This record gives sequence, C-alpha cells and structure tokens, in this order.
Amino acid sequence: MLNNLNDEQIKGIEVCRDKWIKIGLQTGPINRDAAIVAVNKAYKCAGLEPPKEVVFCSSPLDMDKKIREVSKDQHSFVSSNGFANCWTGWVAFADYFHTYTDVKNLEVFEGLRDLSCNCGFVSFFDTHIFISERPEYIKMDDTGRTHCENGPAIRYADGFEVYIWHGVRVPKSWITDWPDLDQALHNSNLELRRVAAEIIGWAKILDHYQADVIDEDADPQIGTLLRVNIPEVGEEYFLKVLCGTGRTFAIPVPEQDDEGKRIDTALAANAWTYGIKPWEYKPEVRT
Amino acid sequence: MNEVRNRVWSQVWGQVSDQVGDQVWDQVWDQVRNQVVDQVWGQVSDQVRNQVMDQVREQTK
Repeated sequence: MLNNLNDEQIKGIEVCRDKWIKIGLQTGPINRDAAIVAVNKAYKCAGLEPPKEVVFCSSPLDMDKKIREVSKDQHSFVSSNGFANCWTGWVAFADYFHTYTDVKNLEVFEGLRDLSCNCGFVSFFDTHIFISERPEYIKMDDTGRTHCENGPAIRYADGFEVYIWHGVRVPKSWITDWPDLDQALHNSNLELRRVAAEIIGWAKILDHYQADVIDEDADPQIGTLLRVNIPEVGEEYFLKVLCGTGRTFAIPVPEQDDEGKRIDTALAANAWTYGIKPWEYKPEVRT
Repeated sequence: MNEVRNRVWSQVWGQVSDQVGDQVWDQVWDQVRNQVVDQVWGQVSDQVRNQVMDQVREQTK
C-alpha cells in the first residue's frame, strides 16, 4: 500500500499536472495515425473488439452529420459525446500513479491516455468511433473566459466557428457587424440583452432613447445623471461620465442609495459608485 | 456507447484504490486531478464543450 510520497514523487505532482493542462488546452491538427493506434489499444484494454471503422471528423458539426448518417438519426454529437482531449482530469490522476509510483496494472488506461493526446471530441460506438479534430484556435479574455471582439472565439479548420463575448455565445452578426439596437434590447434572453448593451455601449443606447438629464455637474469627470425609459425594461438611471483616460462611460446606478436616500445629483451617483457619501468624494487627479 | 471509457476507468479506479492509501489518494486527487480540472475544465471544457454543443444544436435544428 502506498501511504507516503517520497521527494521525487512529490516533485512529479507539478510536472504531471502541467503536462496534462498543456494537453487539455492543445489546439491544432491531431495525429490521425497515432489516434488509430490509441483507439485499438483503448478497446483492447477495455476487453472489447476494436471498432470496424475510425471516422475522423473535421469539427463537431461534421461529427454530428456523420454520427447521424451512420446511426440513421438514432444518435447525434450532443447525445453521444463521451470523451475529449480537454477532459483530462482523471487521465492525469491515473498517469501520475503509472509514471511516478509502483502502483501496478494501470496499463489498462494507456489507450485512452494516448487518445487524449491525439483527439478533439470523441464518441465511442460498438462498431464505429468518431474523432473530431481540435479547434484551430480558442481565444480568451484576461480572466480566462472564451472571448473575441472581432471574430470567432473558437474556430475549426473546416470553418465551423463559435462567436463568444466574454463567455457568452452570441449571434455572428453581433461581432462581425453590430447588434441591431432595437432587436438586441428586445431579446427575450436577459443575458444576451446585457451583452448586447455592452457591445453597443450604454452611452450610445442612452443617446438612442433620448435620456432625460436629471443633473449635470460642471466637471465631466463627475458626470451627468440621466433617466431613461427602456422599452420592456422600464425606467433606469445612469451616470454618464468622462473617465481619466478620455473615454465616456455610462454606468447604471440605482434610484436610491444604500440608505434609501434618493440619488438626485451626478455627484451623489458618482460617490455611490465608490461606496462613499457625496461629501467624501474627492476626484482622483490623473497625470 | 462509452463502454470503453467506463470499463477502463472502473479498472483504474479499482487498482488505485487497492494499492494507494487515503492520504496519498487525496494528495494526488487535489494536486493533480483537481488542478488539471480547474485549469482545463474550468477554462476550456466547461465553456468550449457547452458553447460548441449549443452551436451544433442551433445549426442542426
């Protein structure tokens, strides 16, 4: 029984972890010959007959089409997906013991281990196995959410692509052209409506709906407090403010502060965004 | 479907359970498996899998 790890084995934890994170995040073409060898090994290790056919697919969409054809519409990509290079957590767990310890009889997972290095999505069937290519690229924002503001965030070599704004899938036209303001703001999906507003920019939306000025401070960095009636949303309040970098932002603010006092000046609204009282507000001087 | 994956994992699980003590199991589970899942599943799979699947669903309606 392995009850303690020695120094070498402890060092191996980090090496093994980093190796599998890299494999899980890999993009670009797979090695199809190596994938076939791995598939045969995986079925053999599981005590099953290897599939009669290994079907390579250029993307998940292509995989869906091929699975439907072969299964006569009994299965699809979504209903049958069972493995992928990015599902490597437990493979990493087994690989650690196989590589760094004397735990025996783990050869059984070698097929799936090797397949992880040479596959995108995989669907297993008795007579067929469907293996998708990996994406050409996956783009992310600074916080690790899939995102691209001027093209697809995920793209496969055959042209299958997914448009994503900070983790939220959006229609292609919102990225390649611009969301139609009226359509976007009437979208039944609240999250998509929020994303549309972010893409368009609240400052433009407020101009479009001809917001009423409640209070305009002489200092544009303190800003202008606005009230706007957005169809199907109702009356909302915004602070339109010039940032120290020279850009104008519109920030949603509540009608009342945390103590229930009405926010009726731009200064009060600006102070609220910092969680302070109007008399405590001292604008930062940027040089 | 998925019998390959299930059979292999069940055998691996059995072997590791028989030969590895709880403390080492937890250490490797937390520091290898969970961290790979956090990085890869959290960053890629959870998003990419759902987004790719939703996109396929939408295009094949």
